[in-house]
Amino acid sequence: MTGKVRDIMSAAPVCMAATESVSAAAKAMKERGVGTVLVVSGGRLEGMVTERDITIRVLAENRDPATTRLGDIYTSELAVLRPEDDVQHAARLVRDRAVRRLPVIADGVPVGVVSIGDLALDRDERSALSEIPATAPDR
Amino acid sequence: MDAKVRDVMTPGPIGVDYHQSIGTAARTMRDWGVGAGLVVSDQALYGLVTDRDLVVSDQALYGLVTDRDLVVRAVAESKGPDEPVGPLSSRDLVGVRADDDAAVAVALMREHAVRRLPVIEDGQVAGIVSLGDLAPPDES
Repeated sequence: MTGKVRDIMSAAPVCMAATESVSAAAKAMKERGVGTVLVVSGGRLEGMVTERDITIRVLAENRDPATTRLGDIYTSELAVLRPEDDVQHAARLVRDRAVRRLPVIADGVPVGVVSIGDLALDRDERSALSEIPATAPDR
Repeated sequence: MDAKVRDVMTPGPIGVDYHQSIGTAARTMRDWGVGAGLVVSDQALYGLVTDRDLVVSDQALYGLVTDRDLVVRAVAESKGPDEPVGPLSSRDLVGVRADDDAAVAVALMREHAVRRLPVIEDGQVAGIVSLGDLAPPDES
């Protein structure tokens, strides 16, 4: 597992304000084909909301996605990566922090997301797994 | 990759009923710590199941529902938490046998561009194997 985070990350992350609704984030996840929304304020990363967060913090809690704001459910105090970090470092963070997705920050600004799928695909680029499109439905 | 599918799967299939609400399904997936649930229907009780159908605890397997399905097919479409979860399912599932090599699961995921496969043993669903189970990040 060699290479840099910039080589495997999904660039151009979806960024939204903490005041946006969960419904708006779900629509963005659908339209952009992603499972993560980065929550930003003045261009700086404040937190992250994933599909999983919406399942367990909104649907399972009977909260209304139209009135629940990202600021109510986001995960803050995130472990973050830099584009120049080694992929091996990313894999270690994913394992040690038991997270599936990590934001990538350059000069304080979010520039990408690395997911456990990106790492699996990178593990052996000649393996069959690498032929599963990174954008394939999560099922 | 010498492991069998049985060795890497998440055993004990987590099932939700077709008619259960989206909110109930979300709580089941939360409580069991899984990102996908098998959706079952009671067709088996009415004798509608053929011997080609897969069975979970005497109920027929209808489909699979994931966190992503709940988000893009319910929340993004303004469906309420009291609506049934069944219609959100992905159908036409591809199964793999518990005693197959893990490499077989990899090949099936590649061929069908899916990330999760129900695992079959003795005609019943014994678990789910996911992309993450097959290629966990490590330092190799």
